[in-house]
Amino acid sequence: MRTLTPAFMFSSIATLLGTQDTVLGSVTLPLHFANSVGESNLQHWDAAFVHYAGYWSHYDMRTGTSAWPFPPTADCGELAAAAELHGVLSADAPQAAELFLLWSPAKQAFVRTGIIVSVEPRTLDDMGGAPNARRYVCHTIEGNIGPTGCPGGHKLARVWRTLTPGRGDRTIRWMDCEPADRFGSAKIVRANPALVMRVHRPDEMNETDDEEAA
Amino acid sequence: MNADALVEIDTRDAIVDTVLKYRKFIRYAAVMLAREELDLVDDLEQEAFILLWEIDPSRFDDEDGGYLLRAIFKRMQFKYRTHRRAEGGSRRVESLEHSTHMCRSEVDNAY
Repeated sequence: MRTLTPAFMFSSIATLLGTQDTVLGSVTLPLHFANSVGESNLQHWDAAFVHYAGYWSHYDMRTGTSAWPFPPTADCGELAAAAELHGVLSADAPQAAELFLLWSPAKQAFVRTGIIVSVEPRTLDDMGGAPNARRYVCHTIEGNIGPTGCPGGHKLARVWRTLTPGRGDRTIRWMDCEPADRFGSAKIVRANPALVMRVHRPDEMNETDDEEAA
Repeated sequence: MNADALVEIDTRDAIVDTVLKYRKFIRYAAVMLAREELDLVDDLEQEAFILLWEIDPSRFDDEDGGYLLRAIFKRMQFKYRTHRRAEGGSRRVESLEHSTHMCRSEVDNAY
């Protein structure tokens, strides 16, 4: 069984970045990612890309299984719930190779995921200097992204993104997971929606409301 | 294979995009809130820009426009109230309520 290793993940992603314009038969690579998690449309395929990269970078030819511990999903909320079940959902400072989850206060849900390549050593203090209120400028790889970093689009991209745990953003320390076993434990932990809400406790859901109260 | 063909995106560009998209609303709301205190208009606009920098508009899509406009307006309203308190009075409360109503109508009409 392969151990969970960031180097495997990065080499897999580098290959995907270099071949992202490839058309497999009549299927583009983003559609291939989406299909691999059972999605037939290209509305949200960022989580599907992460799963694809994670799964195949930890695939063991000898056993025909992958050590990737998370279930195939195109839903960031399900990914968060699975990470919580594994005890690797984190509100601490982001680190290279972790997956990030971007929180939308408008939708009250995680709306985007990707892989953190590096974290700038400088943080931007935002809300009073509490440890998880800092803003971290990260270099990430993401799919399904528009020209300014908003959701949408059919490209993989290198992205400069600011993550703020105090505003609900989270990271997944997947390297600390137990690898999936040969019977496919990744599928067993498929999350239930109630857990998605339970795991999320942003410190500041709506700053403007707090200001109003003040 | 050309590595330069890889797309590189800076999400701070979303702030500029959002400012351009909602510039008219921000100006309108600032003028409505400040009324004859013209020197306050720029401060209120500035407050809206700070909010956009803080919340990172790249986490919102087109469907979230209403949420963003409300957040912008509430932030400007808060700034205005803070300013009024610092000035030592609530003599403009009536006009604030009027402005709030006008700007909320703008938001509702836009979405």
